[in-house]
Amino acid sequence: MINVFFVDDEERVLNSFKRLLQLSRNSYRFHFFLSGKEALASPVEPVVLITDAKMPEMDGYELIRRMKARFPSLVTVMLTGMVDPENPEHTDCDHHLEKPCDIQDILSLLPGKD
Amino acid sequence: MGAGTLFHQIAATPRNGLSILTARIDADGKVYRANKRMEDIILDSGLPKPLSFYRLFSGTFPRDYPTRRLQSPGKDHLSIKTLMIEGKPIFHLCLEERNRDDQSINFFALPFDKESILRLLQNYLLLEGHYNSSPDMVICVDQTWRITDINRAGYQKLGFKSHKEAVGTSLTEIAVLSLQTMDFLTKALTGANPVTDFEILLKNRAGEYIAGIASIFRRLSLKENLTLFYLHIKDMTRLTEAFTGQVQMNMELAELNNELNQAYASILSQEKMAALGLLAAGMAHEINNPLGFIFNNVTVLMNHCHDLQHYVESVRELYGNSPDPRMADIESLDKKLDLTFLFDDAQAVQCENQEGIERIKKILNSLKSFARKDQTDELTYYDINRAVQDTLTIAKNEYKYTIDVHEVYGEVERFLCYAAEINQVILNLLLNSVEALDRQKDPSEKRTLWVETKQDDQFTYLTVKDNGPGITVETVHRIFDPFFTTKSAGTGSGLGLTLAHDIVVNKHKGTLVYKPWEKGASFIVSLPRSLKIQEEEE
Repeated sequence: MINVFFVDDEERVLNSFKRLLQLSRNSYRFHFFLSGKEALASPVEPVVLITDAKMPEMDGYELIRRMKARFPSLVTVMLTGMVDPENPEHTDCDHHLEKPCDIQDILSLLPGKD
Repeated sequence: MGAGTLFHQIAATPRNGLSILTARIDADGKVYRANKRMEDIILDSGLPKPLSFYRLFSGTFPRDYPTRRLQSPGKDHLSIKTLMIEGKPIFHLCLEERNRDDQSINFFALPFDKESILRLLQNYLLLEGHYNSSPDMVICVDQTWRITDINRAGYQKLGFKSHKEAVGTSLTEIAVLSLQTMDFLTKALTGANPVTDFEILLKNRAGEYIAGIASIFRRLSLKENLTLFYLHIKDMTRLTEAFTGQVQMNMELAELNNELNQAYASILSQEKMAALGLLAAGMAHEINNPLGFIFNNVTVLMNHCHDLQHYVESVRELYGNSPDPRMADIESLDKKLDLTFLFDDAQAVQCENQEGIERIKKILNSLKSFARKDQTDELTYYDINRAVQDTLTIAKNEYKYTIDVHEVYGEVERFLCYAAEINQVILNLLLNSVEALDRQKDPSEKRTLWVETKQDDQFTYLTVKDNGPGITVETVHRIFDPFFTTKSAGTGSGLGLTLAHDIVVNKHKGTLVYKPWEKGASFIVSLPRSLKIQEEEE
């Protein structure tokens, strides 16, 4: 089972994805978190991390940096309202998706089942 | 102003009963004509006639006086002499002038007490000094307009080497005698009053014009009974030039001011665009999240509906076959609630919602690219032909089957630009034309789009032309305004042309102009080939 972490500080966004992903009959196991802190506290080892960029306390870039340090082979996907070219850290993530994005866009980025 | 003029001026002033002496003396020194007063003195002297002038005023005039006077340069000679009249020495202001024939001398003597003469002389010297040092021209002419006297400023300004050279010249040679000037001169000639402050145009020996303000007054010359006219002319040339210069400067200033206003308007517009960009970015960001979950939830809701419908259909199968009387109630409830309609309508509602969300997404994308315009992107050498081809491919979905596209590619060298933004410009212009062609309702016109590129030394050109309905006169001035759109609600953000204009004009220092043609609209983009050089200069 591939564990996918999904982090967004807005519960409604998280809920909507939760519903959609449940419907999409995929074989991934999604874990939803409302903050980077929660995600880091999880005992589960993720294969994929999908995170919102702009979040209070810890932003998506920081979260990716910390998770990558812990799981070097982690696949990371950043969701942003807008690409900020001034911030060079966006190059640290493997994939980049602009909101609003389609569930198919997200699923297409996930690695195949091993 | 010669000595004679002064003498005649003094002679014309009241002298408290003292009488002027006049005599004409020939080259031998004989007095052969004298006025009454002189005759009296001659009679009193008891000397024989023809009387020798030397003997009459012995001790005052040398024996060779007439010869010396006749040979000396200058026409007039003014002096103060003590003449013995009736045994008494009396100060006289004496004027000796040669007659025209140079054979005789006119002698005038004004008896004065010493102090009066000195005072007069002082005044005269003052006047003379002023006369010659004045920056204004004083020209004395006779009735035939010949110059009889002229001050230093006069002959110098008129380009004469000396006073002597100027005297005798006709006024017609040094003045442009327009009808108006002639009118003033004639007035002075015939009237008693001076004519003042009229404009006169003089022409000096070098052919240069002198603009002046003149006054003319006449004065009777005592000797020879001549009427002389004094022209007092103030040189206004420099003032006129200064004025003309001022006018020129004012014009330049006005032009500069105009440029400044345009630059200001351009800066203002850029500022507005920047502010709008920020606003757009902020808005896009804020709308993204709620739009995201609404979009997701609508999909989920459709799914839920679908499941529910599936369930209802299963139940319907049940009550068709079931003997249970409660099933009839369920069936009637189904009919009462019109569940068939409800599911169909829910489907329609969801579809419309999704369409609405798609539209919002489109607008957000426009806003985002609008806000993003100044950011990334570096100057690169770019092939505009390639760019047009690529963009046509991307936009193909918008125009295939319905529109003929004619592509004319000129020989175009790569040029420096912000490539992604130029793509945006091309795309926006293409979509703009495609949209216009969609509104082309005339079936006899095959909807056609022309794209043409070319280049000259300075610019790379792109023309996008269509045979759509064109742009009305009422709206043409607003086509580049943000959020201005003639497209039906929901199909356009009204930012396409604004964005294109901003990219071309503000970012690339080029021009984007709309040009109507007989059958539709055309947009012409000119992009300077030397963009980088320009930026470095700035």
